[in-house]
Amino acid sequence: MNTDTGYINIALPKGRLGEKAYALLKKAGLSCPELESESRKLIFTDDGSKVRYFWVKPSDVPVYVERGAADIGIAGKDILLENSSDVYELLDLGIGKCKMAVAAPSGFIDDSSRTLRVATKFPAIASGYYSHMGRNIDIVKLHGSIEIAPLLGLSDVIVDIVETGTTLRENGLCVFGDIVPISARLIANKSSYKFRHERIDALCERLKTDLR
Amino acid sequence: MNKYTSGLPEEDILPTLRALYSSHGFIRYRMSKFEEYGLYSGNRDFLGGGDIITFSDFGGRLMALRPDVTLSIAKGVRECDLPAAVYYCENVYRRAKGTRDVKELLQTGLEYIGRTDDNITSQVIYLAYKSLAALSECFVLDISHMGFISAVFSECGIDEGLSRELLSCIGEKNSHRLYGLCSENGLSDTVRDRLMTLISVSGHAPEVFGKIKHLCAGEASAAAYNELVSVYGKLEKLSASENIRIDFSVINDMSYYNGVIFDGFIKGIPHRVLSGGSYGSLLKKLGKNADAIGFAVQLGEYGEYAKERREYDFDLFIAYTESTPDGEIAKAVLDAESKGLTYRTGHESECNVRCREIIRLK
Repeated sequence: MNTDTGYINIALPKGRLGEKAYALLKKAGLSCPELESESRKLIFTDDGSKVRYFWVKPSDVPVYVERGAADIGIAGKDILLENSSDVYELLDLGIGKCKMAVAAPSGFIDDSSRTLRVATKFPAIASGYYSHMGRNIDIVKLHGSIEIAPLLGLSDVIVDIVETGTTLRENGLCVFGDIVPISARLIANKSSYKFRHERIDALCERLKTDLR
Repeated sequence: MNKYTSGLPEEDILPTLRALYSSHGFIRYRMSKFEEYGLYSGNRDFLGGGDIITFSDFGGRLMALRPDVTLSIAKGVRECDLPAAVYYCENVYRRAKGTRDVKELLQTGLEYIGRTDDNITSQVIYLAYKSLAALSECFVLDISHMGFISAVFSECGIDEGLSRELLSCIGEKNSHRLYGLCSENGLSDTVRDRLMTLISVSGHAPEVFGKIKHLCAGEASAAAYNELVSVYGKLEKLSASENIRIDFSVINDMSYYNGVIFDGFIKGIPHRVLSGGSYGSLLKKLGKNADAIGFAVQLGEYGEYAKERREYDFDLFIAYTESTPDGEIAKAVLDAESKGLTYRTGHESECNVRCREIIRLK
Protein backbone atom coordinates (compact mmCIF):
# COMPACT_ATOMS: atom_id res chain seq x y z
CA MET A 1 0.00 0.00 0.00
CA ASN A 2 1.34 3.41 -0.95
CA THR A 3 1.50 5.47 2.22
CA ASP A 4 3.17 8.47 0.56
CA THR A 5 0.63 11.25 1.07
CA GLY A 6 2.97 14.21 0.73
CA TYR A 7 3.23 16.66 -2.13
CA ILE A 8 5.46 15.75 -5.03
CA ASN A 9 7.64 18.64 -6.18
CA ILE A 10 8.20 18.90 -9.93
CA ALA A 11 10.60 21.29 -11.68
CA LEU A 12 9.42 22.22 -15.16
CA PRO A 13 11.59 24.05 -17.72
CA LYS A 14 10.15 27.44 -18.71
CA GLY A 15 8.99 27.55 -22.31
CA ARG A 16 7.52 25.25 -24.93
CA LEU A 17 9.17 22.12 -23.61
CA GLY A 18 7.80 22.68 -20.13
CA GLU A 19 4.30 23.23 -21.49
CA LYS A 20 4.49 19.97 -23.46
CA ALA A 21 5.82 18.17 -20.39
CA TYR A 22 3.02 19.54 -18.21
CA ALA A 23 0.47 18.27 -20.76
CA LEU A 24 1.92 14.76 -20.37
CA LEU A 25 1.96 15.00 -16.58
CA LYS A 26 -1.60 16.32 -16.53
CA LYS A 27 -2.72 13.37 -18.64
CA ALA A 28 -0.92 11.09 -16.16
CA GLY A 29 -3.03 12.45 -13.33
CA LEU A 30 -0.97 15.35 -11.99
CA SER A 31 -3.12 18.24 -13.12
CA CYS A 32 -2.76 21.70 -11.62
CA PRO A 33 -5.43 24.13 -12.93
CA GLU A 34 -3.67 27.04 -11.21
CA LEU A 35 -0.70 26.53 -13.53
CA GLU A 36 -2.93 26.75 -16.62
CA SER A 37 -4.16 30.23 -15.72
CA GLU A 38 -2.44 33.35 -17.08
CA SER A 39 -0.15 34.18 -14.22
CA ARG A 40 3.37 35.38 -13.58
CA LYS A 41 3.64 33.11 -10.56
CA LEU A 42 6.40 30.53 -10.64
CA ILE A 43 5.15 28.05 -8.03
CA PHE A 44 1.78 26.31 -8.33
CA THR A 45 0.15 23.90 -5.95
CA ASP A 46 -2.76 21.52 -6.38
CA ASP A 47 -4.14 19.92 -3.22
CA GLY A 48 -6.19 17.38 -5.16
CA SER A 49 -3.26 15.96 -7.11
CA LYS A 50 -0.85 16.56 -4.20
CA VAL A 51 1.59 18.20 -6.57
CA ARG A 52 3.67 21.35 -6.56
CA TYR A 53 5.07 22.60 -9.86
CA PHE A 54 7.62 25.32 -10.38
CA TRP A 55 8.90 26.95 -13.55
CA VAL A 56 12.66 27.22 -13.67
CA LYS A 57 15.30 28.07 -16.27
CA PRO A 58 15.75 24.89 -18.35
CA SER A 59 19.44 24.59 -17.51
CA ASP A 60 18.61 24.82 -13.79
CA VAL A 61 16.17 21.88 -13.66
CA PRO A 62 18.89 19.30 -12.83
CA VAL A 63 20.21 21.58 -10.08
CA TYR A 64 16.79 21.77 -8.39
CA VAL A 65 16.42 18.00 -8.66
CA GLU A 66 19.97 17.08 -7.64
CA ARG A 67 19.74 19.33 -4.57
CA GLY A 68 16.34 18.00 -3.57
CA ALA A 69 14.29 21.18 -4.03
CA ALA A 70 12.37 19.11 -6.59
CA ASP A 71 11.66 15.39 -6.32
CA ILE A 72 11.48 15.05 -10.09
CA GLY A 73 11.99 17.29 -13.09
CA ILE A 74 11.99 17.47 -16.86
CA ALA A 75 15.35 18.25 -18.45
CA GLY A 76 16.89 18.00 -21.88
CA LYS A 77 19.53 15.30 -22.36
CA ASP A 78 21.93 18.04 -23.51
CA ILE A 79 21.80 19.68 -20.08
CA LEU A 80 22.18 16.35 -18.27
CA LEU A 81 25.23 15.42 -20.35
CA GLU A 82 26.81 18.85 -19.96
CA ASN A 83 26.41 18.95 -16.16
CA SER A 84 26.92 15.27 -15.26
CA SER A 85 24.08 15.60 -12.78
CA ASP A 86 23.88 12.88 -10.14
CA VAL A 87 20.22 12.01 -10.68
CA TYR A 88 18.16 9.06 -11.86
CA GLU A 89 17.11 9.32 -15.51
CA LEU A 90 13.89 7.38 -15.40
CA LEU A 91 12.20 8.01 -18.72
CA ASP A 92 12.73 9.41 -22.21
CA LEU A 93 9.60 11.47 -22.77
CA GLY A 94 10.23 11.61 -26.52
CA ILE A 95 9.46 15.33 -26.71
CA GLY A 96 11.78 18.19 -27.59
CA LYS A 97 13.60 15.89 -30.00
CA CYS A 98 16.70 17.27 -31.65
CA LYS A 99 20.38 16.35 -31.82
CA MET A 100 23.77 17.59 -30.75
CA ALA A 101 25.94 17.92 -33.83
CA VAL A 102 29.12 19.37 -35.26
CA ALA A 103 28.44 22.02 -37.87
CA ALA A 104 30.70 24.15 -40.01
CA PRO A 105 30.56 26.43 -43.06
CA SER A 106 29.72 24.53 -46.25
CA GLY A 107 32.89 23.27 -47.87
CA PHE A 108 34.84 23.18 -44.59
CA ILE A 109 37.73 20.69 -44.66
CA ASP A 110 39.28 19.70 -41.34
CA ASP A 111 43.07 20.05 -41.28
CA SER A 112 44.09 17.47 -38.66
CA SER A 113 47.59 18.97 -38.43
CA ARG A 114 46.08 22.03 -36.71
CA THR A 115 44.26 22.40 -33.41
CA LEU A 116 40.56 22.55 -34.20
CA ARG A 117 38.79 25.58 -32.72
CA VAL A 118 35.32 24.60 -31.52
CA ALA A 119 32.73 27.22 -30.50
CA THR A 120 29.99 25.86 -28.25
CA LYS A 121 27.65 26.36 -25.31
CA PHE A 122 28.45 22.77 -24.34
CA PRO A 123 32.19 22.51 -23.60
CA ALA A 124 31.93 19.22 -21.66
CA ILE A 125 30.01 17.50 -24.48
CA ALA A 126 32.38 18.88 -27.14
CA SER A 127 35.48 17.86 -25.14
CA GLY A 128 34.11 14.36 -24.57
CA TYR A 129 33.25 13.89 -28.24
CA TYR A 130 36.62 14.97 -29.56
CA SER A 131 38.65 13.19 -26.86
CA HIS A 132 37.06 9.91 -28.04
CA MET A 133 38.41 10.72 -31.48
CA GLY A 134 41.81 11.71 -30.11
CA ARG A 135 41.46 15.11 -31.77
CA ASN A 136 43.20 18.12 -30.26
CA ILE A 137 40.77 21.02 -29.85
CA ASP A 138 40.54 24.56 -28.48
CA ILE A 139 37.14 25.22 -26.89
CA VAL A 140 35.61 28.69 -27.39
CA LYS A 141 32.83 28.90 -24.79
CA LEU A 142 29.91 31.05 -25.94
CA HIS A 143 26.42 31.64 -24.56
CA GLY A 144 24.41 32.28 -27.72
CA SER A 145 24.41 32.91 -31.51
CA ILE A 146 26.95 30.13 -31.86
CA GLU A 147 26.31 29.89 -35.62
CA ILE A 148 28.17 33.10 -36.44
CA ALA A 149 31.41 32.06 -34.69
CA PRO A 150 32.95 30.26 -37.70
CA LEU A 151 31.66 32.96 -40.06
CA LEU A 152 33.62 35.62 -38.14
CA GLY A 153 36.75 33.52 -37.82
CA LEU A 154 36.26 32.90 -34.08
CA SER A 155 36.15 29.14 -34.60
CA ASP A 156 36.49 26.45 -37.27
CA VAL A 157 33.37 24.50 -36.28
CA ILE A 158 30.55 24.65 -33.77
CA VAL A 159 29.00 22.02 -31.50
CA ASP A 160 25.38 22.92 -30.94
CA ILE A 161 21.82 21.66 -30.85
CA VAL A 162 20.25 21.12 -34.27
CA GLU A 163 16.50 20.78 -34.64
CA THR A 164 15.32 21.37 -38.19
CA GLY A 165 18.65 22.72 -39.44
CA THR A 166 17.03 25.91 -40.73
CA THR A 167 19.19 28.25 -38.65
CA LEU A 168 22.34 26.51 -39.84
CA ARG A 169 21.30 26.64 -43.51
CA GLU A 170 20.31 30.30 -43.32
CA ASN A 171 23.79 31.06 -41.98
CA GLY A 172 25.61 28.98 -44.58
CA LEU A 173 26.47 26.12 -42.24
CA CYS A 174 25.79 22.42 -42.53
CA VAL A 175 26.06 19.39 -40.24
CA PHE A 176 29.34 17.50 -40.45
CA GLY A 177 28.69 14.91 -37.77
CA ASP A 178 26.03 13.83 -35.29
CA ILE A 179 27.12 13.53 -31.68
CA VAL A 180 24.09 12.35 -29.73
CA PRO A 181 20.27 12.47 -30.03
CA ILE A 182 18.60 14.83 -27.54
CA SER A 183 15.14 14.74 -26.01
CA ALA A 184 13.42 15.58 -22.73
CA ARG A 185 14.00 13.19 -19.85
CA LEU A 186 12.17 12.62 -16.58
CA ILE A 187 14.79 12.81 -13.84
CA ALA A 188 14.52 12.12 -10.11
CA ASN A 189 16.50 12.99 -7.03
CA LYS A 190 18.11 9.77 -5.83
CA SER A 191 17.27 10.29 -2.18
CA SER A 192 13.67 11.32 -2.93
CA TYR A 193 13.32 8.21 -5.04
CA LYS A 194 14.40 5.97 -2.15
CA PHE A 195 11.51 7.22 0.00
CA ARG A 196 8.90 7.90 -2.68
CA HIS A 197 9.66 5.24 -5.30
CA GLU A 198 6.14 3.78 -5.28
CA ARG A 199 4.60 7.09 -6.30
CA ILE A 200 7.38 7.97 -8.75
CA ASP A 201 7.34 4.48 -10.34
CA ALA A 202 3.56 4.67 -10.69
CA LEU A 203 3.91 8.02 -12.47
CA CYS A 204 6.56 6.54 -14.81
CA GLU A 205 4.33 3.60 -15.68
CA ARG A 206 1.43 5.91 -16.40
CA LEU A 207 3.62 8.13 -18.61
CA LYS A 208 5.01 5.08 -20.47
CA THR A 209 1.47 3.89 -21.18
CA ASP A 210 0.40 7.32 -22.42
CA LEU A 211 3.53 7.61 -24.60
CA ARG A 212 2.97 4.32 -26.43
CA MET B 1 14.15 17.90 18.70
CA ASN B 2 15.64 18.02 15.23
CA LYS B 3 13.04 16.63 12.85
CA TYR B 4 15.64 14.62 10.95
CA THR B 5 17.09 12.74 13.88
CA SER B 6 15.98 10.08 16.24
CA GLY B 7 16.34 12.60 19.06
CA LEU B 8 20.10 12.97 19.25
CA PRO B 9 21.19 16.63 19.14
CA GLU B 10 23.65 17.33 16.34
CA GLU B 11 26.55 17.87 18.78
CA ASP B 12 26.06 14.36 20.21
CA ILE B 13 26.24 12.55 16.87
CA LEU B 14 30.04 12.36 16.67
CA PRO B 15 30.60 11.04 20.23
CA THR B 16 27.77 8.52 19.67
CA LEU B 17 29.33 7.20 16.47
CA ARG B 18 32.79 7.07 18.06
CA ALA B 19 31.38 5.06 20.95
CA LEU B 20 29.56 2.76 18.51
CA TYR B 21 32.68 1.98 16.49
CA SER B 22 35.03 1.58 19.45
CA SER B 23 32.58 -0.68 21.29
CA HIS B 24 32.63 -3.00 18.25
CA GLY B 25 36.39 -3.44 18.22
CA PHE B 26 37.56 -0.55 16.03
CA ILE B 27 40.49 1.59 17.13
CA ARG B 28 40.76 5.33 16.45
CA TYR B 29 43.12 6.13 13.56
CA ARG B 30 44.57 9.62 13.29
CA MET B 31 46.33 10.94 10.21
CA SER B 32 47.87 14.01 8.70
CA LYS B 33 45.81 16.44 6.65
CA PHE B 34 48.35 16.12 3.87
CA GLU B 35 49.42 13.26 1.63
CA GLU B 36 51.83 13.03 -1.23
CA TYR B 37 49.97 13.86 -4.42
CA GLY B 38 51.28 10.69 -6.08
CA LEU B 39 48.94 8.54 -3.97
CA TYR B 40 45.91 10.26 -5.47
CA SER B 41 47.18 10.81 -9.01
CA GLY B 42 47.70 7.07 -9.37
CA ASN B 43 44.21 6.28 -8.10
CA ARG B 44 42.00 9.04 -9.52
CA ASP B 45 39.27 6.56 -10.47
CA PHE B 46 38.98 5.42 -6.84
CA LEU B 47 38.31 9.03 -5.87
CA GLY B 48 35.60 9.29 -8.52
CA GLY B 49 37.48 12.03 -10.34
CA GLY B 50 37.30 15.59 -9.06
CA ASP B 51 39.98 18.17 -8.41
CA ILE B 52 42.67 17.71 -5.81
CA ILE B 53 44.09 20.67 -3.93
CA THR B 54 47.86 20.55 -4.18
CA PHE B 55 50.81 22.54 -2.91
CA SER B 56 54.58 22.15 -2.70
CA ASP B 57 56.05 21.62 0.74
CA PHE B 58 59.28 23.20 1.87
CA GLY B 59 61.17 20.15 0.66
CA GLY B 60 59.81 20.54 -2.86
CA ARG B 61 57.45 17.56 -2.67
CA LEU B 62 54.07 17.92 -4.34
CA MET B 63 51.53 17.40 -1.57
CA ALA B 64 47.75 17.30 -1.51
CA LEU B 65 45.07 18.28 0.98
CA ARG B 66 43.44 14.96 1.63
CA PRO B 67 40.28 14.41 -0.52
CA ASP B 68 39.73 10.93 0.89
CA VAL B 69 40.62 8.92 3.98
CA THR B 70 40.37 5.31 2.76
CA LEU B 71 43.34 5.60 0.40
CA SER B 72 45.56 6.94 3.18
CA ILE B 73 44.60 4.11 5.53
CA ALA B 74 44.98 1.48 2.81
CA LYS B 75 48.42 2.83 1.92
CA GLY B 76 49.57 3.18 5.51
CA VAL B 77 48.52 -0.19 6.90
CA ARG B 78 51.30 -2.79 7.14
CA GLU B 79 50.62 -6.43 6.29
CA CYS B 80 52.27 -7.49 9.55
CA ASP B 81 49.60 -5.48 11.45
CA LEU B 82 46.64 -7.19 9.81
CA PRO B 83 43.81 -7.52 10.46
CA ALA B 84 43.39 -3.79 11.03
CA ALA B 85 40.04 -2.52 12.30
CA VAL B 86 40.14 1.27 12.51
CA TYR B 87 37.73 4.17 12.63
CA TYR B 88 38.41 7.82 11.95
CA CYS B 89 36.95 11.28 12.18
CA GLU B 90 38.71 13.58 9.77
CA ASN B 91 38.18 16.45 7.40
CA VAL B 92 38.49 15.93 3.67
CA TYR B 93 38.92 18.68 1.12
CA ARG B 94 37.06 18.76 -2.16
CA ARG B 95 36.02 21.26 -4.77
CA ALA B 96 32.36 22.27 -4.50
CA LYS B 97 30.50 21.18 -7.62
CA GLY B 98 29.95 23.91 -10.16
CA THR B 99 32.16 26.43 -8.35
CA ARG B 100 35.82 27.18 -7.75
CA ASP B 101 35.32 26.93 -3.97
CA VAL B 102 37.08 24.40 -1.82
CA LYS B 103 34.96 22.68 0.81
CA GLU B 104 36.19 21.24 4.06
CA LEU B 105 33.93 18.28 4.86
CA LEU B 106 33.78 16.38 8.12
CA GLN B 107 33.77 12.66 7.56
CA THR B 108 33.72 9.72 9.93
CA GLY B 109 33.86 6.04 9.11
CA LEU B 110 35.71 2.82 9.51
CA GLU B 111 37.84 0.34 7.61
CA TYR B 112 38.45 -3.35 8.16
CA ILE B 113 41.55 -4.55 6.34
CA GLY B 114 42.60 -8.19 6.40
CA ARG B 115 40.91 -11.50 5.69
CA THR B 116 37.20 -10.87 5.34
CA ASP B 117 34.24 -13.23 5.31
CA ASP B 118 30.45 -12.93 5.48
CA ASN B 119 30.62 -12.34 9.23
CA ILE B 120 33.03 -9.43 8.87
CA THR B 121 31.03 -8.02 5.96
CA SER B 122 27.77 -8.21 7.89
CA GLN B 123 29.40 -6.65 10.98
CA VAL B 124 30.59 -3.65 8.95
CA ILE B 125 27.20 -3.24 7.28
CA TYR B 126 25.58 -3.57 10.70
CA LEU B 127 27.66 -0.63 11.92
CA ALA B 128 26.68 1.35 8.80
CA TYR B 129 23.04 0.56 9.61
CA LYS B 130 23.47 1.66 13.23
CA SER B 131 25.24 4.85 12.09
CA LEU B 132 22.26 5.82 9.95
CA ALA B 133 19.86 4.92 12.79
CA ALA B 134 21.79 7.29 15.06
CA LEU B 135 21.22 10.11 12.58
CA SER B 136 17.57 9.55 11.80
CA GLU B 137 14.55 7.29 12.23
CA CYS B 138 13.83 7.61 8.49
CA PHE B 139 16.70 6.06 6.58
CA VAL B 140 17.38 3.53 3.87
CA LEU B 141 20.52 1.44 3.40
CA ASP B 142 20.75 0.24 -0.20
CA ILE B 143 22.97 -2.76 -0.83
CA SER B 144 24.40 -3.91 -4.15
CA HIS B 145 27.21 -6.23 -5.25
CA MET B 146 29.82 -5.26 -7.83
CA GLY B 147 30.94 -8.86 -8.16
CA PHE B 148 27.39 -9.92 -9.02
CA ILE B 149 26.95 -7.17 -11.61
CA SER B 150 30.32 -7.82 -13.29
CA ALA B 151 29.69 -11.58 -13.25
CA VAL B 152 26.32 -11.10 -14.97
CA PHE B 153 28.04 -8.95 -17.60
CA SER B 154 30.80 -11.50 -18.09
CA GLU B 155 28.41 -14.45 -18.27
CA CYS B 156 26.42 -12.54 -20.93
CA GLY B 157 29.63 -12.18 -22.98
CA ILE B 158 29.82 -8.38 -22.62
CA ASP B 159 33.23 -6.76 -23.11
CA GLU B 160 34.85 -4.25 -20.76
CA GLY B 161 34.03 -1.15 -22.80
CA LEU B 162 30.34 -1.93 -23.12
CA SER B 163 30.28 -3.04 -19.45
CA ARG B 164 31.25 0.49 -18.36
CA GLU B 165 28.42 2.05 -20.39
CA LEU B 166 25.89 -0.51 -19.16
CA LEU B 167 27.03 0.02 -15.57
CA SER B 168 26.42 3.75 -15.98
CA CYS B 169 22.86 3.03 -17.21
CA ILE B 170 22.19 0.79 -14.20
CA GLY B 171 23.52 3.49 -11.88
CA GLU B 172 21.10 6.03 -13.39
CA LYS B 173 18.17 3.57 -13.62
CA ASN B 174 18.31 4.56 -17.29
CA SER B 175 16.38 1.68 -18.83
CA HIS B 176 15.78 3.42 -22.15
CA ARG B 177 19.50 3.97 -22.71
CA LEU B 178 20.29 0.39 -21.66
CA TYR B 179 17.67 -0.83 -24.13
CA GLY B 180 19.30 1.29 -26.86
CA LEU B 181 22.82 0.03 -26.07
CA CYS B 182 21.65 -3.58 -26.25
CA SER B 183 20.07 -2.91 -29.62
CA GLU B 184 23.10 -0.98 -30.99
CA ASN B 185 25.45 -3.79 -29.93
CA GLY B 186 23.34 -6.65 -31.25
CA LEU B 187 22.70 -8.21 -27.84
CA SER B 188 19.96 -10.82 -27.79
CA ASP B 189 16.55 -10.20 -26.20
CA THR B 190 17.48 -12.73 -23.52
CA VAL B 191 20.63 -10.82 -22.59
CA ARG B 192 18.77 -7.52 -22.73
CA ASP B 193 16.06 -8.81 -20.38
CA ARG B 194 18.68 -10.12 -17.95
CA LEU B 195 20.39 -6.72 -17.86
CA MET B 196 17.08 -4.87 -17.51
CA THR B 197 16.39 -6.92 -14.38
CA LEU B 198 19.32 -5.18 -12.69
CA ILE B 199 17.47 -1.85 -13.16
CA SER B 200 13.88 -2.92 -12.67
CA VAL B 201 14.32 -5.01 -9.55
CA SER B 202 14.90 -3.28 -6.23
CA GLY B 203 13.30 -3.42 -2.81
CA HIS B 204 13.25 -5.61 0.26
CA ALA B 205 15.90 -8.27 0.07
CA PRO B 206 13.81 -11.45 0.31
CA GLU B 207 11.63 -10.30 -2.61
CA VAL B 208 14.61 -9.23 -4.70
CA PHE B 209 16.53 -12.46 -4.08
CA GLY B 210 13.69 -14.43 -5.63
CA LYS B 211 13.64 -12.18 -8.69
CA ILE B 212 17.39 -12.19 -9.41
CA LYS B 213 18.24 -15.83 -8.76
CA HIS B 214 17.69 -16.67 -12.44
CA LEU B 215 20.51 -14.26 -13.35
CA CYS B 216 23.03 -16.69 -11.80
CA ALA B 217 24.35 -18.34 -14.97
CA GLY B 218 27.81 -19.23 -13.69
CA GLU B 219 29.98 -19.83 -10.63
CA ALA B 220 30.94 -16.17 -10.16
CA SER B 221 27.38 -14.82 -10.15
CA ALA B 222 26.19 -17.70 -7.95
CA ALA B 223 28.97 -17.03 -5.44
CA ALA B 224 28.14 -13.31 -5.33
CA TYR B 225 24.41 -14.06 -4.99
CA ASN B 226 25.10 -16.48 -2.14
CA GLU B 227 27.24 -13.87 -0.40
CA LEU B 228 24.41 -11.32 -0.61
CA VAL B 229 21.89 -13.82 0.77
CA SER B 230 24.25 -14.91 3.56
CA VAL B 231 25.14 -11.35 4.61
CA TYR B 232 21.47 -10.32 4.64
CA GLY B 233 20.61 -13.38 6.74
CA LYS B 234 23.19 -12.37 9.34
CA LEU B 235 21.84 -8.80 9.38
CA GLU B 236 18.34 -10.17 9.94
CA LYS B 237 19.61 -12.05 13.00
CA LEU B 238 21.10 -8.76 14.27
CA SER B 239 17.66 -7.11 13.81
CA ALA B 240 19.24 -4.76 11.27
CA SER B 241 17.25 -5.53 8.15
CA GLU B 242 14.10 -3.46 8.30
CA ASN B 243 15.50 -0.45 6.45
CA ILE B 244 17.69 -2.45 4.07
CA ARG B 245 16.91 -2.67 0.38
CA ILE B 246 18.73 -4.35 -2.49
CA ASP B 247 19.29 -1.85 -5.29
CA PHE B 248 21.82 -2.36 -8.07
CA SER B 249 21.78 1.36 -8.92
CA VAL B 250 24.37 1.55 -6.14
CA ILE B 251 27.49 1.17 -8.27
CA ASN B 252 31.18 1.90 -8.09
CA ASP B 253 34.34 1.45 -10.08
CA MET B 254 34.70 -2.24 -10.97
CA SER B 255 38.48 -2.06 -10.91
CA TYR B 256 38.48 -1.17 -7.18
CA TYR B 257 35.24 -2.56 -5.76
CA ASN B 258 34.74 -6.26 -6.17
CA GLY B 259 32.08 -7.25 -3.65
CA VAL B 260 29.26 -5.86 -1.55
CA ILE B 261 28.76 -2.09 -1.77
CA PHE B 262 26.17 0.09 -0.06
CA ASP B 263 24.79 3.64 0.16
CA GLY B 264 22.83 5.22 2.99
CA PHE B 265 20.11 7.86 2.58
CA ILE B 266 18.17 9.91 5.12
CA LYS B 267 14.73 11.31 4.38
CA GLY B 268 14.97 15.04 3.75
CA ILE B 269 18.67 15.01 2.82
CA PRO B 270 19.02 15.09 -0.98
CA HIS B 271 22.37 13.32 -1.23
CA ARG B 272 23.61 10.04 0.17
CA VAL B 273 25.12 10.49 3.62
CA LEU B 274 26.91 7.15 3.81
CA SER B 275 28.78 5.08 1.26
CA GLY B 276 30.89 1.98 1.55
CA GLY B 277 31.83 -1.39 0.23
CA SER B 278 34.41 -4.11 -0.29
CA TYR B 279 37.48 -2.73 -2.01
CA GLY B 280 39.95 -5.61 -1.98
CA SER B 281 41.00 -4.76 -5.54
CA LEU B 282 42.38 -1.41 -4.30
CA LEU B 283 44.57 -3.21 -1.77
CA LYS B 284 45.94 -5.44 -4.49
CA LYS B 285 46.70 -2.40 -6.66
CA LEU B 286 48.65 -1.01 -3.71
CA GLY B 287 50.60 -4.27 -3.57
CA LYS B 288 48.98 -5.64 -0.42
CA ASN B 289 47.69 -9.16 -0.09
CA ALA B 290 44.49 -8.44 1.84
CA ASP B 291 40.78 -7.78 1.51
CA ALA B 292 39.08 -4.68 2.82
CA ILE B 293 35.64 -3.31 3.60
CA GLY B 294 34.58 0.00 5.10
CA PHE B 295 32.32 3.01 4.88
CA ALA B 296 32.28 6.78 5.33
CA VAL B 297 29.58 8.99 6.82
CA GLN B 298 29.40 12.52 5.43
CA LEU B 299 28.72 14.45 8.61
CA GLY B 300 29.17 17.74 6.81
CA GLU B 301 26.33 16.83 4.45
CA TYR B 302 24.17 15.71 7.38
CA GLY B 303 24.96 18.81 9.42
CA GLU B 304 23.99 21.23 6.64
CA TYR B 305 20.49 19.80 6.34
CA ALA B 306 19.92 18.87 9.97
CA LYS B 307 20.58 22.32 11.44
CA GLU B 308 17.62 23.58 13.40
CA ARG B 309 16.28 26.94 12.41
CA ARG B 310 16.20 28.70 15.75
CA GLU B 311 14.03 31.70 16.50
CA TYR B 312 16.69 33.20 18.73
CA ASP B 313 20.40 32.84 19.50
CA PHE B 314 20.24 33.09 23.30
CA ASP B 315 17.55 32.99 25.95
CA LEU B 316 18.51 36.27 27.65
CA PHE B 317 20.33 39.47 26.99
CA ILE B 318 21.39 40.97 30.33
CA ALA B 319 21.66 44.69 29.61
CA TYR B 320 23.63 46.86 32.04
CA THR B 321 24.71 50.51 32.12
CA GLU B 322 27.76 52.29 33.58
CA SER B 323 25.82 52.85 36.79
CA THR B 324 24.71 49.24 37.29
CA PRO B 325 26.29 47.82 40.46
CA ASP B 326 28.57 44.76 39.90
CA GLY B 327 26.49 42.79 42.36
CA GLU B 328 23.38 43.19 40.19
CA ILE B 329 25.18 41.89 37.08
CA ALA B 330 26.58 38.90 39.02
CA LYS B 331 23.15 38.16 40.50
CA ALA B 332 21.53 38.16 37.05
CA VAL B 333 24.27 35.92 35.59
CA LEU B 334 24.05 33.40 38.44
CA ASP B 335 20.26 33.40 38.20
CA ALA B 336 20.44 32.60 34.47
CA GLU B 337 22.99 29.83 35.04
CA SER B 338 20.92 28.27 37.82
CA LYS B 339 17.94 28.09 35.46
CA GLY B 340 20.06 26.60 32.68
CA LEU B 341 19.44 29.59 30.41
CA THR B 342 21.86 30.84 27.78
CA TYR B 343 22.70 34.52 27.98
CA ARG B 344 24.89 37.35 26.81
CA THR B 345 25.71 40.51 28.74
CA GLY B 346 26.39 44.01 27.45
CA HIS B 347 24.96 47.45 26.75
CA GLU B 348 21.52 47.25 25.20
CA SER B 349 22.65 49.39 22.24
CA GLU B 350 25.22 46.70 21.43
CA CYS B 351 22.71 43.85 21.43
CA ASN B 352 23.19 42.42 17.92
CA VAL B 353 21.91 38.91 18.63
CA ARG B 354 18.37 37.53 18.81
CA CYS B 355 17.26 36.94 22.37
CA ARG B 356 14.01 35.68 23.76
CA GLU B 357 14.08 38.27 26.54
CA ILE B 358 16.09 41.36 27.48
CA ILE B 359 16.75 41.91 31.19
CA ARG B 360 17.51 45.57 31.80
CA LEU B 361 19.51 46.13 34.99
CA LYS B 362 19.26 49.59 36.51
